Amino acid sequence: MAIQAGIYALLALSLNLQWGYTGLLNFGQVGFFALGAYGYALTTTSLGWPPALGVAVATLLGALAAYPLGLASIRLRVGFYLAIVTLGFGEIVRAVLVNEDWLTGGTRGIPIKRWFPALDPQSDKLATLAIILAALVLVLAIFERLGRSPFGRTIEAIRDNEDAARSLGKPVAGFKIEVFMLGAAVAGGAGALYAVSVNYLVPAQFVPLITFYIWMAMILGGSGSHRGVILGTVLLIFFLEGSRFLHDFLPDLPLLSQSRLSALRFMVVGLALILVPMYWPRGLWGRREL
Amino acid sequence: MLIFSQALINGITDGAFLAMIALGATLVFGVARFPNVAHGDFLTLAAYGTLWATGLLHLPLLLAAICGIVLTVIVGLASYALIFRKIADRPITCLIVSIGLALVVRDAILFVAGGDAQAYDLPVWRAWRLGGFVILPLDAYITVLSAAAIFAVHLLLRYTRIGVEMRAVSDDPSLARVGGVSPERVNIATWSVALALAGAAGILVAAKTLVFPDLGWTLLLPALAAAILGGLGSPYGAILAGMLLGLSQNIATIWIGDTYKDSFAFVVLIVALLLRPTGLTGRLEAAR
Repeated sequence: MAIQAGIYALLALSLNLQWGYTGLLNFGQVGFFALGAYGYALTTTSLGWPPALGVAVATLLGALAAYPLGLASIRLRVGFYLAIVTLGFGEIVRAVLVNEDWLTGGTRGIPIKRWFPALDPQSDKLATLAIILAALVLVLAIFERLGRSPFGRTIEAIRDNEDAARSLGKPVAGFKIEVFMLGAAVAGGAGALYAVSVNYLVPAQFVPLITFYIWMAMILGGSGSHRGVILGTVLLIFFLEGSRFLHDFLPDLPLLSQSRLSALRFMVVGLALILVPMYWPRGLWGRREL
Repeated sequence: MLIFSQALINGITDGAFLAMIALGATLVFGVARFPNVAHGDFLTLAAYGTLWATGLLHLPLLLAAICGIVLTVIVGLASYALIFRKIADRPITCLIVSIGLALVVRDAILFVAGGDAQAYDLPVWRAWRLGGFVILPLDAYITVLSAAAIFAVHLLLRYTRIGVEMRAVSDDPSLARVGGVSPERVNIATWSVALALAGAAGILVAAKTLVFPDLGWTLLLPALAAAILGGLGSPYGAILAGMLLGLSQNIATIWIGDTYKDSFAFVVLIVALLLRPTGLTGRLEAAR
């Protein structure tokens, strides 16, 4: 649970850099996440590369995939193009994962080696968690630093008033593409960590719903604020896990089967995505309105 | 040759579907200024509404289809009145909220109907053979009905007062308001037309394939790609791009396999955006 929270927090931070700081609508977060996870899996299992190199490949893959998408849609003035292109990108990645089974194992999946095979599973999990939390702190520190740098002030200026930023001679599209690639790189790296922590990858882990969870965490916590986004992620995980446990306590009613409960859970996520932006645009701890 | 002609025929049916869906999405974009992600799930709602009307009320299919469309229009207009009208000045919020609405609609259907695919009780027609072509009558009827729906919207946009007003608001909202057009009336009319189109498309798609919870979602993305290719907000661009994408998707399946059909639409979209950011019809809508 803490591992999942750490990975989702990484995804939410990267989305927050793109949306909260720069105003980029990325609805394909899961696509970059999946690319990172499979990039890590293939380089470390099939090619036998060391894990650190695998994480680097995952990060790089995220950024490289973001470049053409950003180039195609960020130069357009209305942010919706990026939203739809990234939404489609996530689905394309999943289609490739399912279909190219010579490479990705298709729906059979790929097993991933553990990082510390010498340790027993419990300590291995704890050590992996420690690395994930270290990665989270590192990304948080980089983003905090970035937020205070001239680069950070420029991207916030672009978000608030693009024309003004452009009239001051800032290459607006270039900045946006850089931010988009940086965020995607973090999502790719998070994918590598995810691959290690679950030990097994199948395409069904990378449904568009993941993207929407991350959006919900960010909006609930408050976009534009790192603390808020992490708080939102923790709340999201509590909700998802809590509602799963709920099933064990409820009497076995035919009206509330497992599938109905999961449908209900997604309806609550959907309702939150409707109500929070409408009535509570700052979220719990946010710095800016949607 | 047989494979090619079959792909051509499938392409025409798919193209008509995509044109209908893209037309609805682009009409809503024209007045509300956001791409409605819940548009696809309104297709699913109509398909299930029709199924329920045949199952529970024992209505004949045609009457049930009308019930399905009416249900979709009612739910969709309620979403407009309760949600989108209140945040009409924040189009990006509308987009995010529409994703939430899509989840709610789809999972409400899943909650009620379960995840299993179901089918309409359609009569079985013997296939027509014309020269080398094999045409299923069902496909032909579906295509004719789709074309009729699109043509009806064309007549509405071109020859009725409300249609002219819809185009006026889509072109320039403030100018339309100065000209005495009531934005509220136009909004309701546009949403109704778009929802009815989505409902009709959902039922026709379900008649050709099956009724299942992801029906609308799988079609939404290629349809939005078509709407962008046609230039967001431009109805005729959406129809043209929808037809072209449907055809090219199916012709491409000869080489790339059926499972990549929907991905193909996106590759076309990304390449097209790189080469020609204003869309097929070249409206300067949003590009710079």
